[in-house]
Amino acid sequence: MYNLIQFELVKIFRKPRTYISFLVVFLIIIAFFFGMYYEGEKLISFVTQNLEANFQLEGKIINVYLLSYLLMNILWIHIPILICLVTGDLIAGEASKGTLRLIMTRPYSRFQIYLSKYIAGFIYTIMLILFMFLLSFGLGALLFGEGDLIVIRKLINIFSSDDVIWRFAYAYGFGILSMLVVASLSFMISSFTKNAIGPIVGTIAILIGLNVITALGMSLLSPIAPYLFNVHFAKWQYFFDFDIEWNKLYQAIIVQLVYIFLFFFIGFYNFNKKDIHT
Amino acid sequence: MLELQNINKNFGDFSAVEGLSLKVNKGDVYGFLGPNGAGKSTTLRMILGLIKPTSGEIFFKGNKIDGKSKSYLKDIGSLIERAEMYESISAQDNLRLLGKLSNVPNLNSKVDDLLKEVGLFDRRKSKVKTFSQGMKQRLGIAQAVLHEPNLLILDEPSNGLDPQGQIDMRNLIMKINKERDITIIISSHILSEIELMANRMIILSNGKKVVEGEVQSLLTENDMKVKLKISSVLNLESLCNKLNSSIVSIEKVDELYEVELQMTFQAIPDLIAAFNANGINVFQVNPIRSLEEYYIKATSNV
Repeated sequence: MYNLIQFELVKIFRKPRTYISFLVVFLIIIAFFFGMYYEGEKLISFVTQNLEANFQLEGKIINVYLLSYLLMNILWIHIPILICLVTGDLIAGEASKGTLRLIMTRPYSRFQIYLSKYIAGFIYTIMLILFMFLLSFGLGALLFGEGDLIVIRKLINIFSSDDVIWRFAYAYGFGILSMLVVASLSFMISSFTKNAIGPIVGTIAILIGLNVITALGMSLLSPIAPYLFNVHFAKWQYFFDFDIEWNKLYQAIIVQLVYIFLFFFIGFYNFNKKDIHT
Repeated sequence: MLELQNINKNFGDFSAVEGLSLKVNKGDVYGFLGPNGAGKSTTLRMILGLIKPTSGEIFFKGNKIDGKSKSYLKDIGSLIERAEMYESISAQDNLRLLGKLSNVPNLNSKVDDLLKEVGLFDRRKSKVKTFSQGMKQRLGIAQAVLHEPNLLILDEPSNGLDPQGQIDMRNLIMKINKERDITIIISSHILSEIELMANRMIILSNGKKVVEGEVQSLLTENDMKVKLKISSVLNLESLCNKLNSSIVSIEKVDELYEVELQMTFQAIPDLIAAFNANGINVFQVNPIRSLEEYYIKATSNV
């Protein structure tokens, strides 16, 4: 099993398309930091002008924590697409290229093959998000330094710099779970199709469709809305409240875990019974 | 070594393989013949567990393949149609990765030896995407025998190769059969190839077995055509009747007669002796029976 996972990881990280995701994350972060470095003060003062009328703000408002928080908001929109590029390719891409039979004719069960691909896809997803975490914090600390974090949610929350690291760690952990749902969804679709475009388009279409439906707040869907996985994606922000709603977070974690297992088993059921013609 | 018992495979209403039984013995080079859609690839894929039979049983080394455990595959190597390898990885790394999956001992030296054997050692560091189809096929053979299997399954290994590539591939397969003592199942559209390589064969048509047996006996025991150049056709019909042969055509070319007879291969010496005894000089004998002719005839009768 260890050999299989290693084999899958080597294939993932020898493919140029894998690095497209890392490059895109790198470019977005660089572009964002570049913009904030030169125009950040102006932008932030526009947002905080009401605050400044009533409070005296001291210290560096634009700091690594604020920028990392803002980046998380931006990147969670793009990350799913980047994840699908690789996880959607794991079965369908190999099927279309004819290399799937190379593994399927080795002495491993279909479950072992499927599970190893799944784990490799998860490792890639986690690595991509950790890359984003390390780059935004490393580069942000270097360019902007530390400071207190001001977050505007229901209330204006101001966290001292020694109170934010754990919040980011939890938020990233939660974000990883959400992105594993995306990876599982695209992987499941990958087991049904014969080309890698299907899982990418399928996953994005499902995400956009669900987001549109939930954003419109269709009354018919409101009873089931808490059970849709996409509504929980933004809940990493709860970690930036003073009174963290743990119950809602636990519910979100359980719903997302259920989807991960559901997508895994639906995909495996199909993979296990399918004939390999390519 | 391998036995299929009453195998059926349906895709919806379409029956791809119907009641197929066959037996491959240890040491055989077993030829799979049949036109497109005959069920050759489907059968080979069923043996490898890529496709699940609708019904029937497959036995490998006396053990029934149940479709769940894939441990029997450690003794089988395969090259199914085109050898698709990981394009962005070098030939050497492709083999090392695949060898690791099969827990091949002394992997690195074995990979290098195999690359030398298939003539790719000089290109071992090159990415597979830079390889010609012939090179890819040879690399495909190398990955198939890397774990030293007892049975090698080759599904149209010469597909897409130029004539020289086909000869090289044929020589490589025969070398593997002889030197490594591996039983081989090979399917091919190039019928002369099967004729040259296989000792036993099966002909499939529309998913059904037409015939199975020794290649030589299939070639020689059945009716074939013989073209002769002879000096006279006097009493030809009565001579042919005595030898259980029949006249297909007679044509006079210059001073000689070109005659085409339907007969058995074994009757040729008797025929020549009878002609000589009757004062008919034989200038040329050309048995035009080939596996291809037999194959076309056999498959058109189903």
